Amino acid sequence: MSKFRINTDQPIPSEDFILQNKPSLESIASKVQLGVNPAKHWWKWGAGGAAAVVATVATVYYINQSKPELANNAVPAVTDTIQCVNAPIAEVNIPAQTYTFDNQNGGTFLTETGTRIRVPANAFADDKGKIFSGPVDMTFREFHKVPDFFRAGIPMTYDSAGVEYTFESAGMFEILAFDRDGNPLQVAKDKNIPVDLVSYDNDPKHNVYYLDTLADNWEFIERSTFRTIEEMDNTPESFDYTFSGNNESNTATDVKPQTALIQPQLSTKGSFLFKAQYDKGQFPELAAYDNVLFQVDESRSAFDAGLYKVKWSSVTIKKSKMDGLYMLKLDRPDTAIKVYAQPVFDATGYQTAMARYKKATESNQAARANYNAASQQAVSNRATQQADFKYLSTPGMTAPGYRTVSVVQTGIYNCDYPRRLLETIHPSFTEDGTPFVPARIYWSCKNINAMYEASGSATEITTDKKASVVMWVVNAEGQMAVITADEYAKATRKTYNPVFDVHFMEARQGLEKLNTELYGTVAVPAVNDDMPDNTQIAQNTDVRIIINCFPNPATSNVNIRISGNEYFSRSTISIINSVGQLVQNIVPAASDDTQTIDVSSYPPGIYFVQLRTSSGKSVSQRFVKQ
Amino acid sequence: MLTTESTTTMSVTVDNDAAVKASAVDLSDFGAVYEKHYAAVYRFIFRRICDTEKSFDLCSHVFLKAMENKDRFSYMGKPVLAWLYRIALNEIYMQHRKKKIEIVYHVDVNDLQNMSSDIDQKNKEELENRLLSALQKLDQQEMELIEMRYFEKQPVNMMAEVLNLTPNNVSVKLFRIIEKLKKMLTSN
Repeated sequence: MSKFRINTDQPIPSEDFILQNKPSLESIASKVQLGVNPAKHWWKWGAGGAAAVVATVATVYYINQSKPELANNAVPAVTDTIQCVNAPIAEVNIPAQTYTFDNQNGGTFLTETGTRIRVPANAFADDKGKIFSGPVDMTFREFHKVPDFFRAGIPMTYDSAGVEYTFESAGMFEILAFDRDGNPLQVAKDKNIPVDLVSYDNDPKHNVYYLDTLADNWEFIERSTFRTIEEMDNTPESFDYTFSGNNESNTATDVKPQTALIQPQLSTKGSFLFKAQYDKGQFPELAAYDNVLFQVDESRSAFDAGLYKVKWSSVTIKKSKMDGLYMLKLDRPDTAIKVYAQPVFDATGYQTAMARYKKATESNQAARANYNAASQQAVSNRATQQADFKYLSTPGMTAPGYRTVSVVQTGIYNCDYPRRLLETIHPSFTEDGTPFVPARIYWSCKNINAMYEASGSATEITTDKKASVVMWVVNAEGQMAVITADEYAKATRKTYNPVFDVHFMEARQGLEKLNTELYGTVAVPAVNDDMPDNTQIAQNTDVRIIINCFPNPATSNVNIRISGNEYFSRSTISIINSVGQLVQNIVPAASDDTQTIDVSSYPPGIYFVQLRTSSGKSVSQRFVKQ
Repeated sequence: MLTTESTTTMSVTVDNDAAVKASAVDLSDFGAVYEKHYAAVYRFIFRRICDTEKSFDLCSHVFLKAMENKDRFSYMGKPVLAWLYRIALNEIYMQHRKKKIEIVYHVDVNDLQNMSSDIDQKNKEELENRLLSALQKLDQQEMELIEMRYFEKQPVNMMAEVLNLTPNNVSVKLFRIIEKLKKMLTSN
């Protein structure tokens, strides 16, 4: 039975008719503003059905409550506020390299991994957009491999039109800048800082994304282009600052003054005040104060007095993009409202707050003095910081090239490619036979530079059956347990409800184990004299090489494409016919990953492409000549 | 007004169209999206419910949803319009499930002629009527594809984006539906 009708008579309204009758955007926008979910209330059908469907918002809110002049005493609710970038184990977080330079001069920097940063003169501005004058502390962290992503706790999920993907990464970095007082600086308008990020993946599929830490999602910026070391502009360049691993200069960040406290303000009479739950750790500018109230900013959004009478089940805050204003979120089981609000104090709280503010400012000034001295020294030494727990060495991994990202805004950038896994398993964990729930679960497929994560209590996670998966879990004490690929394969064989028995170890050991498990043991890489200096081969890593031949069947040309951590320049290609005779030997010149072969002179039949890498591996693929 | 949201300054080199796509971040740009695509989304909805008034309601609702979720939309090389169409389609289906609207596909008689040439070379005149009744016997999902391809004349890539299928899959499905229609017509 069909559930639709077909209409052939009624014409489609004309463009003019539609445009004349369309509602103004403002009328739609006004419904978003107060968080009123119009799907429940606004939806109406013609004249007849209107009364039945439309539930007026006001009647819902006018629940008998009195004393509107008192602050709303919300019932404490479990607030699940997770910061966007949240290192799971602080001890092994990726440390930042700090470069200090004068904003008027800019500078060029070479990091530990070989990434180049070229900061033009006057690249940074203060929060009001004015070009900053004076010394700038630029901190830089880069993340290349799965253990780096894990250590830094950067979200690797990407939401595109409601579908969640996980990034396969060709490199990420974080760039931040601060003035002497620890206030963040922005990249000045019309300036950009080119960062030549070292990249270990030459696949052209990657894009550049920027992490919007407020929205907690990545924003697509542009396609990322990969350039080999040879393709880069390799004019000898002297870097103002070059990473030196043995430098034990003092860590200026240790004495970095705290984030400035906000200056206390008295509440306005007759305004709407709310108490909110928040984690002081996340709002350092409020940390020193008690009894902070949030005053609804009525100049920005109208506030219905009726909403003030309601008992809200939770009131939470979030930093807004507006200076000094917070986003106040009022929650009830049936509704949620967001308004802008400003932190204020009532008369009694104001006295205490003011005293604390003065004290904190004084001690902060002392810290600043020390900090300035330390930073000055850093400038004169032209030294960079020594990382506490350095990047783990990965055997045989030498960057084949760079990806250039234009930084127009401080924050985190990546050169990534979104992908999805589709197979669901239901894991559970035991430690020495006793079941337990880890704090967080992470996993990664070998050969794919992506990390997946789930909350420890997740009952299902998605993986890839064909891949070799390494899983690791973190407990509340900041310890790690690694489930090797073999253990994983054993546990998941024949079942979708695997039980993993794990043994926790200290984070540093755990990371070493994870690194070894993912990338093999650290070995002296073989260096072939024929090769350029910058290429080395991963001998001990179990890299799977895949060849694709297309078009197949072929008539005149066939393209051979390889994926995996190998390049044509280090390999030989043989074309073998169906009876095993060698037809053609090709020594590919380009370091490109696609090679085109002219097969027009071949007699029709089946042929094999055999690729032999310089490390002795050989892979073959069949194609048909028509 | 939502102008309180400060814009993220990203001076990225983008073409004109991408500027609209990439920046569903603040209201002023959303305004551009709204102005540009309102009529298209309206027609998309009208073609499926054939009700002038309800189409306006539904269309506003689609943009409202889009505005609420604009932070979740990230430009990945796919047009914004496909995203809006997808929201519209989901809205139509949802309202249909709740029995608030009836799905009425709009079929243009001229296009029906074109379609019948895809199916059969001969007997064009009398085929049209039979084709109409054959269309009526399709699944709603199948009719959706036919509507998009033959009456709305959308490119396969766009259809794939809206329906969350691969372009190849769309083509295969269309082919099978045409085969099915042929079979229906010849068996009559």
